[in-house]
Amino acid sequence: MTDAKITAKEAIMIVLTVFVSHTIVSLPQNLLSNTKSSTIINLIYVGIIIILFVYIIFRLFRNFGSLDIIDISEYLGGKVFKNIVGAIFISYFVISTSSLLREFCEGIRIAFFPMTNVIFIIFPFIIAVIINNHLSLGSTAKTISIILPIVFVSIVFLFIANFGHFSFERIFPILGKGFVDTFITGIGNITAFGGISCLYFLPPYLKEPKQFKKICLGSVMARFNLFYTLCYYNIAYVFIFCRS
Amino acid sequence: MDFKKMISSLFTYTPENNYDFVLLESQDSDKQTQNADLEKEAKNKTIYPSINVNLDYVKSKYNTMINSDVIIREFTINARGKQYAAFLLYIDGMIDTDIMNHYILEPLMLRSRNNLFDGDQNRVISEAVTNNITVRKVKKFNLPEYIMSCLMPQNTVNENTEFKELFNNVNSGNCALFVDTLNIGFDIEVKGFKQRGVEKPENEIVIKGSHEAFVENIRVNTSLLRRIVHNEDLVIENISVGDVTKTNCGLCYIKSIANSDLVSEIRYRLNNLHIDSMLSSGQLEQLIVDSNKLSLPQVLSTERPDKASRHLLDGRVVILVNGSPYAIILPAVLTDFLSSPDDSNMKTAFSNFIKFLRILAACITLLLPGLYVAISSFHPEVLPTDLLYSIIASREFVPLPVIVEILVLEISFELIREAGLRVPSPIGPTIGIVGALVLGQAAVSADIVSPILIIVVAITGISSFAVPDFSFGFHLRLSRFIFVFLGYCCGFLGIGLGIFVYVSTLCDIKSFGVPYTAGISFLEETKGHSYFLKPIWKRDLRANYLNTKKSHKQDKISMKWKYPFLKEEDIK
Repeated sequence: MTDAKITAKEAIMIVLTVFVSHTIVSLPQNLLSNTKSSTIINLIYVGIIIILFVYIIFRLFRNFGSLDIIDISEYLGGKVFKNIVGAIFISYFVISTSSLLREFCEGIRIAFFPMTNVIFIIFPFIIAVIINNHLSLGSTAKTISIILPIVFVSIVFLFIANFGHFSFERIFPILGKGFVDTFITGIGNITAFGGISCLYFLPPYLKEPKQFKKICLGSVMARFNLFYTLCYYNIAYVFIFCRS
Repeated sequence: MDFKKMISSLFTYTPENNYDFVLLESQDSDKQTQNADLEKEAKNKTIYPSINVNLDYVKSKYNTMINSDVIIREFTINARGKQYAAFLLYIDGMIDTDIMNHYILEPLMLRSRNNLFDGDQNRVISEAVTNNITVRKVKKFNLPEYIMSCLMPQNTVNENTEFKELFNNVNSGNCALFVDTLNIGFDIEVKGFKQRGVEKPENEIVIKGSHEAFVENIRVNTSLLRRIVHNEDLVIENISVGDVTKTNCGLCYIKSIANSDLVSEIRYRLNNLHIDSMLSSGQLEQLIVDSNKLSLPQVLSTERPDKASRHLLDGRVVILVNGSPYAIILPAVLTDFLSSPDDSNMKTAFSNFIKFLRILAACITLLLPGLYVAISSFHPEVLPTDLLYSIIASREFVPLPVIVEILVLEISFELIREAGLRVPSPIGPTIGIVGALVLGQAAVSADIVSPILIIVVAITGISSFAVPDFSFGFHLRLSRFIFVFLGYCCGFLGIGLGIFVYVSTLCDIKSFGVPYTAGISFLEETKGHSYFLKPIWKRDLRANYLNTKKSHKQDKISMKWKYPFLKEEDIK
């Protein structure tokens, strides 16, 4: 069990892993299609809401020590409530990860395996997940802490290589389609931060539970900064193709 | 099998109910005891007149209860008709026993005619008689002078009043004589350890390092280690493994540096091996490691005493096996298998460049054949157009699929390598010519394989030889077949997933409580251990994952000659 304990930095990396997978399936472009050039301001607005929300989560978790959301729901409402909350989270994770995997595999199929059925592309991922599931969370966290910085560095290289194709005038008009689309309907972009739901399950696995606040705020800030940077450069990139 | 159980075992994480050793930080009490011992030692420097006190001090200093090669020979000296209790301190394997027996023990212990007269009888130097009164000038009996002058026909004998110098010389191969009632010790030259007779290492050749290698005799090996470490804190415990063969193993560590829990754990594992025989360090290695995932080596194996000593001074433990010229160093992490003993002998820039080349070599050995198969099967657009045409043209008349082609060549290469190990030396070079030129050229001419694949396999083979550790290189050679298969099935996707699973497995392995990937992650705080070396004056810390008793191995400013005007507190 000692091996399943993770440090604060590894916990932040686990939360950011969800961000990376969303980025690969063009989540920034989905955000841009909702709010156009006002995505920059919209992200700041949504980020502030998320930080407040995460702060509330931290304050609520603080009273429960190393318990996760399932244990807390059992404490509050018994086994019935625990099963309901557990079922909700299971269905959320199953739906979100399976749709993410499907979307990603569709992209791979189009690019590299046009004649192959998508199920044969999904299958190797499932094998990798099963093998990784038999290893401890600590080893998964270490793997992510090795691979994720390499992914970030490769993204930076992509930007550097395409620097000539950025046109920074494209960030205007700064309010995009208007105030309502930016601040009222644009609240839907909060789904970009859906990956923070794994924060609910982290407390039992932390080596130092007192660092939970640092993990919550650190992961949200890192995620916000990465999203902001990606969306900013997506707007500025002259070859961007928005869905609408 | 129950369906529910099958699904839950596939998709849920079940912690393994395995023995799990965790390397904890050294307890404060260990460090306090160490400090207390050092303070006590600083006070007790001079030799005592009482032999029992000297004997107790020597026994505690040299840990004779657990040290198997430190010998204390107690006997009685016959001097001028009187008998004095005495003992000799020496290290077995470092002395010449003939000299000790004939020129030290024999004259001291045996009675001789010249030695029989009464010691209380004083020697008359001069005598004068005046007025019927006889005045005699006598010389009192001086035991140390008598021993030095009359009882020890040995060329180099020195008297010392302090333990420190005596111990220093004992560690170098001399022996120390302590006699009751004397507050001096005799340092006697009796060195007899193996020197250049020891052969060169065959498999770990370096440019600037020493050219000595371990041999089969454990006592010679321990003497090699002792000569380099040169400190009384080096403990070599004797542990017997194997119910029938009772093979002697030496558990070596530096008591003031190595983590006590680590030493205890290794001792526990060695003492709990219920086997009939254990004939080599390779067998022992497989019996004591935590797991065997991906056949990755989890301990270092070396035939070089300088490499073993360096790791001892870093806080690791070395196991010597009688009958095997290879020592086991543990714990070992991934970066240790890509390091060579010569790295610390060269300038930092040179050694870091070579280290970078080794990482490249390891990646090429593991991935190049798989990448070639993936690119030629699924991703030809990655290659420049001219190169692509060249490859297609070379493969035009090859009837075999690329996977069969590459497996044929890789297996042929492995067969040639294996045959080269056992071929008699007169025809050894012939194998290289036959294998490389005749077979390779003939295969290309017969359109069985393409020329580009010969280049790929050759580069892979050369890269595998650049990996310093034999076991790790073997693991890479074996694992590349998995990546070839993955590349053939799924292209870059398969190779990417393979790399992910491979890295995950590496991160899951532990070597005696130390994570296998220590020092690799960018987020991990690794003091004292990184793969790329700092300049030697900055290598002042030991690896923090070893949790040694002494974290510093040199002062912050080690080159004091450069900064003569700095204060002590700035230097530390």
